[in-house]
Amino acid sequence: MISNHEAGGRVPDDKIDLRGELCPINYVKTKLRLEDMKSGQVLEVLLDAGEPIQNVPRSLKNDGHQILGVKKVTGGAYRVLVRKG
Amino acid sequence: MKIQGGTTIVVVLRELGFCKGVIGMDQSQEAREYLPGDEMQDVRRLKMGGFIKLKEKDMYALRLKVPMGNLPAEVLPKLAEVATKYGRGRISLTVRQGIEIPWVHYRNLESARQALQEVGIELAGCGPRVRSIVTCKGKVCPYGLFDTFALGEELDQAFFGPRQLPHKYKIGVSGCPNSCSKPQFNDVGYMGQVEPELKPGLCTGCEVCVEACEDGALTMQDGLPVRDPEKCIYCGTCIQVCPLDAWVEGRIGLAVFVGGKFGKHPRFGYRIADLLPLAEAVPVCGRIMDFYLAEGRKGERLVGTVDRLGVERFKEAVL
Repeated sequence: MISNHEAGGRVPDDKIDLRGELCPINYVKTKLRLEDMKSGQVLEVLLDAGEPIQNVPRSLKNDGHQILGVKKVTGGAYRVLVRKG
Repeated sequence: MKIQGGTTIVVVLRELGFCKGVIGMDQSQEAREYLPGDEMQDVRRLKMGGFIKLKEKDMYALRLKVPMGNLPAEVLPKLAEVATKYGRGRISLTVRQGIEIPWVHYRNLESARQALQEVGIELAGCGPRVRSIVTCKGKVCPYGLFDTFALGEELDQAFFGPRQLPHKYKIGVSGCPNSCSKPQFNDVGYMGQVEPELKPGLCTGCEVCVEACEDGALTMQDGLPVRDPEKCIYCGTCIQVCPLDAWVEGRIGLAVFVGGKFGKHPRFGYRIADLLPLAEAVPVCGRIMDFYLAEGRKGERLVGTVDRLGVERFKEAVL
């Protein structure tokens, strides 16, 4: 689990598990979920290793969102915390 | 034989050895003597080539200069017009990002050239000269490390021209080590590189960069990625994938390849430098050309000259 410290002192407001989703569907689903959230809220995203973790956070940053933390979880996936920009 | 129009072109074609027997040699000499000054200008420009003899009698392809493979969209209707009026309504793309209009009769070459010039399209180089500069899309692409169009433009301005060299001289530029424009197969090839720098305070040790590095140049030590400069190819993947912007761009420069070519005996260029400052690209290319002009034998590609004299001597002269 990501500590409150890594989450910028916050518990995620929402979560989405995108393990098994291919690029760019994982990114699009993240985008859609963020659209339903308010600016400043934090979304926790579970992403596979490889292309998903290498591409999705980069695209989210380009959209003006902030990556608060990234942590490897068991099974080789990554837990990413995104603050909506 | 009476010649109407296209005289200038015919003179030049003959000088280039393209249309023996089309009209008498004496007439060409006569035409040259009577050419007014501005047409002599044309002759000089036309010597840069741009006419490709086709298999079919009296037919040529016009090779258009398309620097870096880019054209303003508004010139395309003129290309279509020329191809329809003077060719057979067909436009061909070349391997080096150029455009050719085939099946133009030699008598129509001058009119076709003038029509293209109206929209600023010049003819491209052929023969033993600097060829059209090829680049990738540079900063337009997410991986591009520098503005390849700007460097291509500088190289074009500095080197494209009628100057005769021992053989053809191709220059290629790619914006990153993905090498989409294949700089390694040009006489002179430049490939963008970036030296990554780590901001340790921002790194949380997630290891995304370590897994993304295809060259095994990154290993985790005490919770932070450490880069092995011997393995790093300066591609910048670590910078691109870092979710927390802990890897940042340090020096940006160029790998320099020389002596690459295709043809019957393809060669991968010698890699003679890494992280060459961008501002050095034009001076280095100039020194390579001077070396080639001084040392190259007629009909010898640059790689032949470098092989013959040794790459170490070559490097000393040009770097």
